[in-house]
Amino acid sequence: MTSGKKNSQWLEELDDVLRAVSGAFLFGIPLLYTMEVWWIGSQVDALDMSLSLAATFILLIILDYGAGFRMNKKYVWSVSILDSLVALAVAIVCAALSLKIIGYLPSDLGLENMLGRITMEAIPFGIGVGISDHLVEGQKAQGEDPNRQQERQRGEEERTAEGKLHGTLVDMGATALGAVIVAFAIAPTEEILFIASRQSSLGILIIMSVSLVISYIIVFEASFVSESKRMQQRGIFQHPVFETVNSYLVSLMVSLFMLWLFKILGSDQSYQEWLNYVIVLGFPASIGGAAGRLAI
Amino acid sequence: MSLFGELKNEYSIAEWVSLGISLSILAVIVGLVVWFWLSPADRLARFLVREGQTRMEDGLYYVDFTIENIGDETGEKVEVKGSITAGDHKEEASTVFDFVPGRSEEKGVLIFTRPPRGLVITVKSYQKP
Repeated sequence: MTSGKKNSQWLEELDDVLRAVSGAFLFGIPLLYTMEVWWIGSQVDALDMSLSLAATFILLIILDYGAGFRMNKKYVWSVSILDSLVALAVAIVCAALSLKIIGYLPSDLGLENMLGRITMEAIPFGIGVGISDHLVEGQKAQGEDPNRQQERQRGEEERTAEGKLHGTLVDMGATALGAVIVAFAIAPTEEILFIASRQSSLGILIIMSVSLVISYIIVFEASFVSESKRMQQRGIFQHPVFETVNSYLVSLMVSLFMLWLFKILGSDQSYQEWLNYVIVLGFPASIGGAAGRLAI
Repeated sequence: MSLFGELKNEYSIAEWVSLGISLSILAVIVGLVVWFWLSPADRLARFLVREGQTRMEDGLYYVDFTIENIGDETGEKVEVKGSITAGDHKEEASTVFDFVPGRSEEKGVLIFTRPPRGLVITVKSYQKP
């Protein structure tokens, strides 16, 4: 095996796992911002935990038949079972990390309660992993067609500054739409206040960084095909980092607007509260926004 | 083709590595669940209260405390009351915790108008989940 082939094999695997992570967050985040799931996690016993883990695993095997998180794989049942184990592990890790980030996995919670919350939250994250191939790969077929890519490239060169501005506006619109679709149902709920009230300044910074990293993963790393496509795409901010920051800022604006609309933010709140609420809602909004960009 | 041969063809080294990492994560989780299963977890809720520091703000005394549920059962709407008695003066302050899961801690603050000397903090009631 040549080193080049080895390299691409690792990149392909990284690509698959990051796609799984993207799917997990896209589908899992609305239930991460649902307090009933946290409370149920504190009430389950070992039997409930085993049942929910087993149910998620079986669901992943079923989902892997139609979707799964790996690209370009022919279906072999033994491989599918191993893939489902990887998918379950990804779901558990994503669920645990995101619970920790929002402050609902404190170290004084006790091991059994922690595990209960993680296994309950892993169910929606697992479903997300199971359908991630469909969730984040909407444009796979188009991206793979070399003729279309060439056409697109020629088109890029001919584009004027005006065209680039138009492209950026289309991107921002798609981001805003995606952010609204995911975060609108979360904005008026009490969870935003609950999560925000638990955050220190460091916690808010961590939520910001994680929002940026997950958005980046969703838009640029979920598929190398999509990535190369996006690199050529029109727009002023073509560099992936600029695009991610731009997408995050749009998502924050959308969050701010929704919080104001639902009267959660008003003149009686301090700037600190404004900032915290917007950043906390910005987490689901930016994930939706990143997915929105992917869809155009 | 044998099952192993099939897997060997389909799975790359990278995929085996991520499977290995995944299996170790799952082993820890499943191990913990089995451990919880085997260790009896049926003790009813029981609460310990520890008094923390007192600070003064605008003439009021803020007393920090920690409540720990050392049982396995979750306590809901756990009512905590603190009282001080100084001569004829008797003062009470109370708070309610929505949720104190088994084997976990929560923090709270009671507020008094007098210095909280001889403060007694007790748990008055809770609801079963």
